[in-house]
Amino acid sequence: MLELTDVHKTFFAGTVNERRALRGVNLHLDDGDFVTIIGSNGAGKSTLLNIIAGTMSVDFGTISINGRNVVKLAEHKRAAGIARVFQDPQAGTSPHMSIEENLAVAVTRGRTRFLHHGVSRTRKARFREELATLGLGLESRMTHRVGLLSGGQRQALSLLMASFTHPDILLLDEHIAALDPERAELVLGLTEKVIRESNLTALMVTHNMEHALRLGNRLLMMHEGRIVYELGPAEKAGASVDDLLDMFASSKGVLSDRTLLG
Amino acid sequence: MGSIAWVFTGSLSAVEQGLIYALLALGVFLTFRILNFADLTVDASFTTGAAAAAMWISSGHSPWLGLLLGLVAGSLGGLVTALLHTVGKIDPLLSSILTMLGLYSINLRIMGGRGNVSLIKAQTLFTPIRDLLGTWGSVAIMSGAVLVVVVILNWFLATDFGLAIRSTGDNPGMAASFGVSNNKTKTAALMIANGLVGLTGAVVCQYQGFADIGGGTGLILAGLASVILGNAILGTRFMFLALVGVAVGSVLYRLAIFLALKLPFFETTDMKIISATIVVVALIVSQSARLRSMFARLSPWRAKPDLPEPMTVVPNAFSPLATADAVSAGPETRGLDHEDEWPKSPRTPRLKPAPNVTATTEKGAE
Repeated sequence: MLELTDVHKTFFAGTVNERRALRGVNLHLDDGDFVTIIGSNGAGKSTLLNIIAGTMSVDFGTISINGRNVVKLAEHKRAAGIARVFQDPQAGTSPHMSIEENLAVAVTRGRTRFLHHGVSRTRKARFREELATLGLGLESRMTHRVGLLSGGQRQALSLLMASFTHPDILLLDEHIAALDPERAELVLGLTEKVIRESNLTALMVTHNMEHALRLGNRLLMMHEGRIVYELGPAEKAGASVDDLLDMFASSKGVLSDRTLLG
Repeated sequence: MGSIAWVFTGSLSAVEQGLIYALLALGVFLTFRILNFADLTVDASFTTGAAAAAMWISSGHSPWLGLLLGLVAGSLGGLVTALLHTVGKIDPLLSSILTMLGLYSINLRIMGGRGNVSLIKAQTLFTPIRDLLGTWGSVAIMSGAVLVVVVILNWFLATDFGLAIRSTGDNPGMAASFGVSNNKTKTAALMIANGLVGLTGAVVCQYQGFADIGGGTGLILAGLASVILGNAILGTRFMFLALVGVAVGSVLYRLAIFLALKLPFFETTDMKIISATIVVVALIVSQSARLRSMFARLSPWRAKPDLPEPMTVVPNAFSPLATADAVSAGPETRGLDHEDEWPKSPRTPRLKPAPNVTATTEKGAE
């Protein structure tokens, strides 16, 4: 499905601000894998998602999706198979367009957009059905502008827009970090449901270790541009937040020693 | 009574002009509001359309094909700006100014090196209805023509491709994440908008009987003023009303200039300063919270937003559909100078972006 081989990415190369965000990342995702990614700030988690989505280019390495190297493919072309939900609730939707118009942009993911009416009757019926699954009552507000929605509602809508066309890969970049605990729990629940029901392949970045353990079948820990720990389904089921904290501490120790020696 | 009649003598001509320039204003609406692209190509692509049509018609060809020619010529101007921006990665404003500058020479070439091409002796669109001009008859015909364009645009902006253009203008990052090629949508929108502008040029040169190399100067402001006026009156809640508003704004703008020129002090040569003043007033009114609320109270037919809008975006003056939102939102949306915004006076509390303002409604829904 998704295969990253020795991916490197450096920002501001050759300047005093040089920052090596990814230092040789290898990752393999099978169909239906739901991987949670944790790691401290600057570990390269968001960069990893950005280079998979194509928002950023890689310096070195290959990214292949279904066996095809997509490194040179533009972001909007990769979007045919890759869906994203951003951290910022405002980033994933179009505020001045109505809910149904936003969904119309989403439903045409990966297709050439012609002069077909965006919110046709059949699509409208489908949108209503899909919105009802969120349980937020948005199905009765389909002509309202998205800018009128609260952050939680917008994020739930973003999640629906990203997932209801069954993308090959779903990238979630701390998508509940900007929400209050109640709405975060709501969107998290929806995330789990959507991924399970549509059997999506997903990568979720989070700072919440409890979430990272509760969701998904695999867990990655990143540190300074590398994947330092990986828990498979069996290990993940038995792990606790304390175990993760221990891993954090040891990864820092290992790496700083390595840095000193190197 | 006699003096009032004198003031309004010829006002129907101003309405006619307003209706013709409404096409240009719709083009400006498309770039400035829908695409969020400050496109100054307009000043030159207008003349390109006029020049192409005038040369074609003055050599005895069909005035209808002249319209088509003007449309194509204008859209090519838009294409140049689009390529400078998308391929050349040049800033929108700068790429359109560069096109504007370069097109001046092209326009002179089209006009055979002359600064003015006369159509007085040629057969134009207006020859058969010459007697109707300046009467309600021509106003009705032109209103019908503008309405057709409005209906087509309204339909187009609701199609898959039209929605893609709108999402590019509203949130390019989101558009790209759903597979919209922002370069493609920008190019298409710039070509359509400048096509409309070129079409306006082709109509205007037939209307006034000549094409002039300086005919497009300042038209971007006329278009912008029409957009601001129209959207302030009819709002942007509904796309159709927003588009109609732009046409209405264009008519009001021409009427305002017409009436100002009737004032004792002003001469025809003062037209540019009057236009500039109208735009300044429109901009200030649309950005001042107090004047806005006054204005909103004065116009009961204005489309009201269906909920108090928590402004989650800080738009600038050129951002899509910003002005109408600004009517209902707080001073945060003043636009243009948002970079140096700092609470200057305790009397104008800053509205923080409040994503959870509708939390109560949301709870109810849950």
